[in-house]
Amino acid sequence: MRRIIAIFLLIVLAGCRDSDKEMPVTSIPSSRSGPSTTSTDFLANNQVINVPPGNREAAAALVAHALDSGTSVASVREILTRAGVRIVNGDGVTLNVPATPSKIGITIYDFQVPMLAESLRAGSTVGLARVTDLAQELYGVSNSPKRS
Amino acid sequence: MRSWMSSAPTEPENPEAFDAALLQELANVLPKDQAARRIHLLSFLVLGADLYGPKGTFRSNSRASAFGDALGMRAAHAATPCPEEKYDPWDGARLKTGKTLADWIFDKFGDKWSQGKEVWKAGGKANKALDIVDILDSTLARAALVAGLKVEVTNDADGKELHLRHSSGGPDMQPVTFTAKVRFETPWPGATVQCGPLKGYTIPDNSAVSGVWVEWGLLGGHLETLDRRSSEQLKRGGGGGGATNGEGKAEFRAETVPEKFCPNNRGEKVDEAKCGRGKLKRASSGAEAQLDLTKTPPIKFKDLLMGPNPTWAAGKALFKIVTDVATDIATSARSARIEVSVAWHDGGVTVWEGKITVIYEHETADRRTKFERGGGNAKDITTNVSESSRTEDFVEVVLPPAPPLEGTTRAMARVVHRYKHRDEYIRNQEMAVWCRAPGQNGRWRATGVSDSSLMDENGEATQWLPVFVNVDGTTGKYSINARYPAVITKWREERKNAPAGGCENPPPSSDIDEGETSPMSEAYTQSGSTEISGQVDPKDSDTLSGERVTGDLEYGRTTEKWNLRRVEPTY
Repeated sequence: MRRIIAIFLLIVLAGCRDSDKEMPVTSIPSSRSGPSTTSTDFLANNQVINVPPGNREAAAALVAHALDSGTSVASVREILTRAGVRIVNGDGVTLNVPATPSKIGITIYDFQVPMLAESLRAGSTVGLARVTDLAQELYGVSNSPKRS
Repeated sequence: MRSWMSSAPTEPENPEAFDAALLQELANVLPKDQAARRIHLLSFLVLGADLYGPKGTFRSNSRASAFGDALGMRAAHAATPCPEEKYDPWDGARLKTGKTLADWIFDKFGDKWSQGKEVWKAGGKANKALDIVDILDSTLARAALVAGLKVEVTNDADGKELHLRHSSGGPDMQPVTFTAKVRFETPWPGATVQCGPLKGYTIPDNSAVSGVWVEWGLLGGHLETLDRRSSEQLKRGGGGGGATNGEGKAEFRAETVPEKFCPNNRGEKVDEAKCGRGKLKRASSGAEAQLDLTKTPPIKFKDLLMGPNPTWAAGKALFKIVTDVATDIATSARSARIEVSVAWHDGGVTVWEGKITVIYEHETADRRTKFERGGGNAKDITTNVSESSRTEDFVEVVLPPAPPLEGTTRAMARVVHRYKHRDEYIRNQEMAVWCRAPGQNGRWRATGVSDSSLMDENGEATQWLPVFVNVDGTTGKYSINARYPAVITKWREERKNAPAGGCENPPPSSDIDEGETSPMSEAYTQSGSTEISGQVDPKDSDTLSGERVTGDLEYGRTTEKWNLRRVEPTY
């Protein structure tokens, strides 16, 4: 019984570590660790990226890697992680340790990471006005009297 | 946001500075013409979450799960269909202790959201706040999904160069068919998402997307639509275009336009002598496909993004924003446009483009000093006189690459004629004058006298005038004759005088004269012409350039500079 309590405490402690103190790097659990099927494209095990310290330097290096087909998936995965975006697999298991403060209101699936990487390399863009459109649309929905 | 972007570099250690640096770097890799009004999809997602979503500290249960798994145990949450990931919004760097999520949203949206605020107050702040987060999450997840929508335009020219036509139709027509193929691609096709914002959504297969409305645009100006049906495919205000077929394809047919001077249906001037003649020119032209995903039916795009039986009830209204993002993404991809090589004869017409300047300068300067012993009431007089003048008569002729005047070989040029003149005279005298004040003995008093005169005259005229460039093909000699307009000048002369008196100098005096075109400028300000001659450089017969200086500043120096290039006119 004591052993079970000790293990439980270890689990709780692992889950509650102060992520402020951690380097915000992508942490990908082994596919055996969860009940899910994680996209192999997302894992991109052959892609190695070097990221210099400092936000500006890191952003510059990551964007350059993101435009390189040989490192783009790993780079976009790291960008999302450093931006505090949670990446999940189809079963909802979180595959990274998003930087703090983490973003609430955005979840990216593992299979979307290679898609975003390819979109970046394809030069696809969105009108800046869509960002303000989003506010208007959110406002419209939020005016509904009852939560659905 | 601007403040956030600009302050981020000053706080490089602030964790939130990464987003600002990222957005800046992503903007830097956009083409310059897009950087101010478009952003990458990745930027949209990060910015959308930054602006409209709260932030907090993420407590990962799955990390606990991984830890438990490593110990050979199954974490408790693994047994449930979806692990509940925990955020603590009160622990985020941006949130003050005790502030609720709803308060944060109210702070964020300000007065603009006051109406919503009232509704939220009435309906329950917390639920509404959570609605926003859920809806944002669902919207951004679907926005990320549209990265899988691809448009690729191909053509059947097979790399062959298409020649512009020499007739309004007939055998030399060179049609080309552009095909847009719309498809959806994902590394995880057909799977059903069990958890998260896309819960219940079945990812489409990697397949063609039919029923998407494609509008076409022509690029480069050397192609036109082949027929009426093609013309109807062109994007027009409020109309034009067609839907992709079952294979996700939409076709658009075009052909090369007629060459300049050749028979055409446009009502443009035909010159048979020039049609199909001259140097061969090459360029690119092409077509681009733009999607309009708002067209319904037969578009099934809604099913593509939301699934046939959407459970995303609260977010249905946000389908518009996702559709708009998808339209932007698919249309802006480099693969949504393609170019073909085109060639044409320039009709043998060339014009001279460039600039000619002719400047005449004349300067005089004189300084002299004289000493006089004097006598009577003034003695020991030292006189310093300084006189100077500068005259500048400037003509500039700028020839644009415009076609010659109808029916002539004359080119029109913008000619500037400018005249400047300054005349300056200064005389200073130092002396001793005899002073005898009432009731006092007489004495010599040191004093000075000065006279000066400054005259300025300026004027400028601009006119479009013909320029004649004649090149003798046999001898290689050339002459350039350019006319210039007359100038009306304005002059102003200011004279000052400070005389000397016996015991006290009287007050100085000054006067000003003004007028138009002084007699001494008349020789320069009239209209006239200038002629430059030279020898063509056989190694570069398309350039006429040189510089010639005659005379000197004392007696008048003329500097002529010319640099003309033979170019194809810009019509």
